[in-house]
Amino acid sequence: MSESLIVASGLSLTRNEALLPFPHVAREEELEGLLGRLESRLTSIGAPGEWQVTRLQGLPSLLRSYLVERGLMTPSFSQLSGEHQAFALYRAGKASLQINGDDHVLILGSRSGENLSGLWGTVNSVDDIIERQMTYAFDERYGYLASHPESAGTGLRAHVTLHLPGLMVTGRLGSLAVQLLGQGLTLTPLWSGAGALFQVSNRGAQGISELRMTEIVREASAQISERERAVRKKLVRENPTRVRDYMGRALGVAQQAWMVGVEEALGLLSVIQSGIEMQVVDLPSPKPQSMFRLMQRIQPGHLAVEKGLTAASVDDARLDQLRARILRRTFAGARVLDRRR
Amino acid sequence: MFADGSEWELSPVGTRLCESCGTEPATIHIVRIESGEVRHSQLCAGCAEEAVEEPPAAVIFALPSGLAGIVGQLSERAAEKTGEPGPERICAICGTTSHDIEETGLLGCAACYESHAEAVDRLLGRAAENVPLHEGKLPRRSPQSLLLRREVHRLERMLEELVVDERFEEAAGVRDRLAELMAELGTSGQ
Repeated sequence: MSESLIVASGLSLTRNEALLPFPHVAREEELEGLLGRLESRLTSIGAPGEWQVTRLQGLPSLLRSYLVERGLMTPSFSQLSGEHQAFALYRAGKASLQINGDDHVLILGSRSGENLSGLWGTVNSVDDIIERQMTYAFDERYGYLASHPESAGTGLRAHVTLHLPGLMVTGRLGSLAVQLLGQGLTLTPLWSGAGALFQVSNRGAQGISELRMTEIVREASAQISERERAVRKKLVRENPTRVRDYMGRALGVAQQAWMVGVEEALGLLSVIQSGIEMQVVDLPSPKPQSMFRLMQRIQPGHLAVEKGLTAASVDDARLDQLRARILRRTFAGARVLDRRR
Repeated sequence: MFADGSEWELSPVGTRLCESCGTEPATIHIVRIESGEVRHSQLCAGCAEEAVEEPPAAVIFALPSGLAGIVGQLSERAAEKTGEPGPERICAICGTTSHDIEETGLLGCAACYESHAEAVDRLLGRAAENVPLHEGKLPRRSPQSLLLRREVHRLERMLEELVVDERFEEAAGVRDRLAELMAELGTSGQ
């Protein structure tokens, strides 16, 4: 479970067809025309199976949840009815494509850990592929055009997901968010703050190149990580017993509960992970997969896909039991240490 | 994975004043999560700073207020100045009106960036003269003249830096290359 406080990176790239109105204005036949063209071309280019294109309408909600949890679909796109929308997976999830969401095309990519520049390489090459199938709306002054003027420019939005339990419990995220706004960045809670995961991303996309933008977001994330580390050190130095009590309680639930909801589980994983990083919690080897992978694995979509469940065979109680079993197995034998090793 | 709001959609809030002081325009949307309950408030920058310094029982985060709200305030202020609302513009290509843009914060098509240029600059919260030139990737099918102008822009900045650093010999080389490109741009009819 050795992991930096930066748990994941994501990029999204907005593109539109020059000759069509943006999706919220376009007529049904215009949306269908673009969709049909992209569908047939993507399935015929590259190696067999390189692109898997599916109409959103045909994607069951559990699968949509899984894709959102994996960072291959945005939450708002997953909520659409899907009549004129499609979703395309590139190389089994190296990147993905949303067609006819807020914009004609949104290219997405996610990786665990800090990997914005590697991700830009992938997303950039997918953009080159898509560009051969479309004529991009572009203006010399504004750059790539989009339905939201904020995303015009490079069309790029860089996201870094950070694990910030220390800043959260000490109430420092509000001032941090206000400060980031002044730098053209936003701080948004992922999963409504459950699991103490927060995303830093750029607010605008104009006048700054793609690589520079990824650097700005990465630098801000590194600075926030430093603050988080400082707060944790202070917490464990000034309140050693309270911190151990807090961690021990989380471990107790993770080791003994038989039904755990997703938000509670995210909270437990967050506390235990910070305990491991602060060297207050000891986990016997073999070490399990990373905390972030576990956080993904206990989500409804991931549990359903892993267990082959369908909407008909799944209910919350079943998922709560499966989740609790994963936690019990993962943390069997873990304990709070009396003092630092 | 991407958080809600990762597609740039910021829900419009209409024209609002700060909920705390009631005088300044609300530009920051504070969301407070306390014992599982989510509360939203629209505050001005000053009140937002105070709000986030309250006791740390809650998870608090801040977002820029709905963009449409800002446009609303700006057009209202413009109307106050002239005594009447500004003329309603309409995009000849897609039919999107300035009223539509105020309501949704969304443009209708690529041509809206021309027909509603002022609204775009207002949405982005800046004056037209402060709009930065596009930096970064260009479409493959860009005309040669655009690529040339991009290179000229890059060399001009390089020249400025070289002069500041007093590297005059290199600066002379860049200046000559600039002159060549300018001549090329001239002959390509720009």
